[in-house]
Amino acid sequence: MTATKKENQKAAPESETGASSLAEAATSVNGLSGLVGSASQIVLKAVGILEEEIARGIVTAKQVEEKLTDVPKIRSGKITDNVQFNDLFVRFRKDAHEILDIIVDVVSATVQGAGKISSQLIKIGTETKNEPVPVPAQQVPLIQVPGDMKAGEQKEFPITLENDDNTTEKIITFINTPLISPSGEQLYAGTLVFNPNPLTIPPGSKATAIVKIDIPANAKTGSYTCFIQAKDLESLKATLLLKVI
Amino acid sequence: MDAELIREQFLSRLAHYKDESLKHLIAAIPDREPKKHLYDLVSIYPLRGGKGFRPGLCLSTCKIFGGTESEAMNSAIAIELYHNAFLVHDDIEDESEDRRGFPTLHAEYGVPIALNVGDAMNALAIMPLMNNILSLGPQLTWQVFKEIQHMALESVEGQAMELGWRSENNCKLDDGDYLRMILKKTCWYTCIHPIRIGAVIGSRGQVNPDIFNRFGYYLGAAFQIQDDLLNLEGEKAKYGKEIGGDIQEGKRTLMLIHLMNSGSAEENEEIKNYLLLPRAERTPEKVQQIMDYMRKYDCLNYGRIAARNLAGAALKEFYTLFGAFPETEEKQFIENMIIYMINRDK
Repeated sequence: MTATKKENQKAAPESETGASSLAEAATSVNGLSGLVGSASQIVLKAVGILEEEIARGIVTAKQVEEKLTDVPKIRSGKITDNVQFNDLFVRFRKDAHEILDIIVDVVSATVQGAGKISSQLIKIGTETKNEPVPVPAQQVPLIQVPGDMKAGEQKEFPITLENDDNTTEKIITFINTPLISPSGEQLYAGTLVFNPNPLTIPPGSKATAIVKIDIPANAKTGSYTCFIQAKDLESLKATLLLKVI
Repeated sequence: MDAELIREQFLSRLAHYKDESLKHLIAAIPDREPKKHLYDLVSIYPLRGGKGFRPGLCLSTCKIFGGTESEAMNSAIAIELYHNAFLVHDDIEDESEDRRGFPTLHAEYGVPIALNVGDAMNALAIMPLMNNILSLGPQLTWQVFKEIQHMALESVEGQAMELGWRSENNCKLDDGDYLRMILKKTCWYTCIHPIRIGAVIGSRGQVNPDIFNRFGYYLGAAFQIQDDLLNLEGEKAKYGKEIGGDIQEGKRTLMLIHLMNSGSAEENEEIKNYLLLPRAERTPEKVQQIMDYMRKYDCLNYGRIAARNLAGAALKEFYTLFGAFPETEEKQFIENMIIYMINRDK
């Protein structure tokens, strides 16, 4: 914390040349001329402090993130502040009944051009033929396809579904509505293709389906929405958002 | 470009961002009781004509990166509400008397009511962030929440640093301490996060917001040092606060820190004793004495050069980050802001 007089004198701001022509034009009348590109002591000091603070922040952020995303730990019941977690995410629960948890997993980094998709946790309640378990409206997740698409463009991304039921195999047949925009434009339902469809998920394991989006060449620009659900499975529902530019 | 033209161009665009965000901010205040002691007071500081730097940076960056003003509006007014809450609470903590040309909220309505108004502003800022879910979807909404959480935490940590210095009458500080404090207290929420949030929304999450940290820091630091300079040498009518008020508050500005590292042992003892006095005993004569020492050791010029160097570094970063983008009104606005920051008189 302590600084000597000498150190402060040494730290006196200094200016250098090296400004771009644009910068010079913008600054010559304002007394900033020659300061662009300056590597003054005060600026260098600022850089060092910023790096230190960011490094400190990254460690903290990682700790928080690990706490929020350590799913096995949460499921094992070892985490102590589940309340915070539940407040932040639409979370599926393990209760007395069997539950199929479907996690739309973001693995965009592994698929070229896939962009990113929202991390979603979709609760699928156990249901029988007589007693479907509807998803409350406020829990229908929104899947956003970031990275705007253009007419004629294709994009693929994987979704990984996890079957928490250790005894029963789950067969998911994806169906979806046409995509519509607020101005009434429509893209037919086949714009979205799931492969494989149906998707079979063995007990207690995961399976991945590839979602392919194929924007028709004559598609109009706009934000499109469609509804996705699993055939004969009342509780799997999601809304997909897509922007065509 | 002519300095006056830059200034006019910048202020005109800034007024647009300020007016638009203010309109939405006022609409976000509940129209219900208790009005007299709460909701009517929430709008006082925003309506006093804040500069609108924060919403301006957020909205313009969003547009540069491909978004629209309306997509970033919820986040911009949330930042502005947090900013005004900080101001209300800071004025109490600093025992400030004037804010934007009028008495501070606590000076007019008392500390308990002012504190509660600041709390209400913090609470009200949550709603526009929740509303983001409708326009931005869950992923971007969550990302903006994380940005805001970091912004708010850094700001209170920075304020704690500064309050601690005053509470313990810390006179052994250097430029690095000052730079760290203003990074935390001012720069994250005045510049860095508004830019980061605007870019994240505009690019639909495709841009790594970390690339804006240096630019926002340099810009914010230049802004803060200039603000502190105006407090020492500005005109009250334009600046809106009492001139020399920071010296009376004992605020550790870059200029005061430079003085504390430049004076003789005897002078430093005098300065230390002055800072130990309760605010009421820091008379205009004593404030003038500190001002005289600052002139003697050229502290104001030291601050001016530091502000200009930081602004120069901000310009360099600006050309690196934004150089490839088309020449739009929004891009011009940000460039002009850097120039304006250190030439402003209010």
